[in-house]
Amino acid sequence: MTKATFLARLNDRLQVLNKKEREDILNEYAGHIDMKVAEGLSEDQAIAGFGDFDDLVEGLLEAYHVDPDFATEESDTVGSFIKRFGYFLEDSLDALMNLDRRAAGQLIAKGVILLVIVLIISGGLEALFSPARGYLYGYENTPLGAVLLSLIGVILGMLKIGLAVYAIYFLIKHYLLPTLDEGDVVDDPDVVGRQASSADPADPADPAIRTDRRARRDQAARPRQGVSQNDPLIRLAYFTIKALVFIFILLPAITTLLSLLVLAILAIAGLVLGLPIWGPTLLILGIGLLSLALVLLIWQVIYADNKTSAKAVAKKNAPVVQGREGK
Amino acid sequence: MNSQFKKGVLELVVLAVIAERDRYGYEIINLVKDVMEVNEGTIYPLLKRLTNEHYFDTYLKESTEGPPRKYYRLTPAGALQLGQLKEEWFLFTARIEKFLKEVEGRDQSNLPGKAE
Repeated sequence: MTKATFLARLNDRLQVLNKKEREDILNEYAGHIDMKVAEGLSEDQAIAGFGDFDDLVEGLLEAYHVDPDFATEESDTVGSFIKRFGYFLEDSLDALMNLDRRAAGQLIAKGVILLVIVLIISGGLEALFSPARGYLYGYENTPLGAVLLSLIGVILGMLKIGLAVYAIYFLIKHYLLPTLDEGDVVDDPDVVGRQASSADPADPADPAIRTDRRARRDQAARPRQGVSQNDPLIRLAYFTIKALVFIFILLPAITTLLSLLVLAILAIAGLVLGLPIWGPTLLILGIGLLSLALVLLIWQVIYADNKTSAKAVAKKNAPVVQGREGK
Repeated sequence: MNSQFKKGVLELVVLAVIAERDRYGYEIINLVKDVMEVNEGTIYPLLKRLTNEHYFDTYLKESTEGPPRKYYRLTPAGALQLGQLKEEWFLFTARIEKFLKEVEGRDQSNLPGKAE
């Protein structure tokens, strides 16, 4: 976990406390993490030292005689689902940021394998439906035949999309996110040192392995601070992703939102004038709300710079930490 | 070490550490870690609880190494609590020691594996 994520989540769980108390607590933890990082630990290691997150929150709430169960009760399961999804996206971005080239290569290789599997399965699905399709092609000029054909098309399409989305989720959950924990082991200078010295007698001549281990040792020596500045390729990938998300998701969503707004105004005007268009109006409003939610979610996760007072706290301490590292 | 045992003793150690001198959070954690094995995550909640029970006053002091630090100072109520806990601790450990010595001195033929 990065410092910012930890503080943000802590902030969320302590909402029942007043702002002053919350900021006080967050400041203490932020300061503690900074001092650990100055000693050479990574943010992950500093935060791991706090132990189980839920136990931590429970202990803090008990200090104010707040029933911890009261604070975590989510009467709104959709809200908590969205929040968990947000955490999932944040963790994925964190993991991407902290990838070294070797891990990124492995991830891509696994992604390619998954892609092949997905293609094979969708090919299979096509084959499954083709007899039905073949039969219906004879009837595509009849209304029923046409409807059934497009229905099959839609179902096939949704199945394939579902498959692709699941494959991506699977890739992230089982191959990308674990690198967040792996980082702790690889970062430990003792472990890396031991690996290096024990490996050298075995393959002294293999330059590829040696440079790889040296790169890992160098990374371990530098305290990691969330955004890994050392690999320009990773940084490029990060900004490319941001740009792609903006162009292909955010822009269309915003355009859709605006056009829906216009349509909604027209629809409501029509309603006022007496046209019986309740159904379409509600539909427009519904889709509009969904687009709005999507835009807000993406904005929050990928672009937000002033998320909560937690981030403000992290920012406040940051310039001083960098100053110390300059010594 | 037994965790329930640790919880009670932790309060005693923290109070004693701060009684000696006003200290800030990170300093307190390191001092306590010298005395007993403890999870860093449990210290801040403990400090919060004891502050809310008015055993500590807190104040901010400028620091040369970063943002201002929050210092903890023992209140009279805290000093009283420390005295009470110390007394309880010494009484308790004295009785346990006495008991263990007595049992050791007594007939041990009940222990499994001991030669009859």
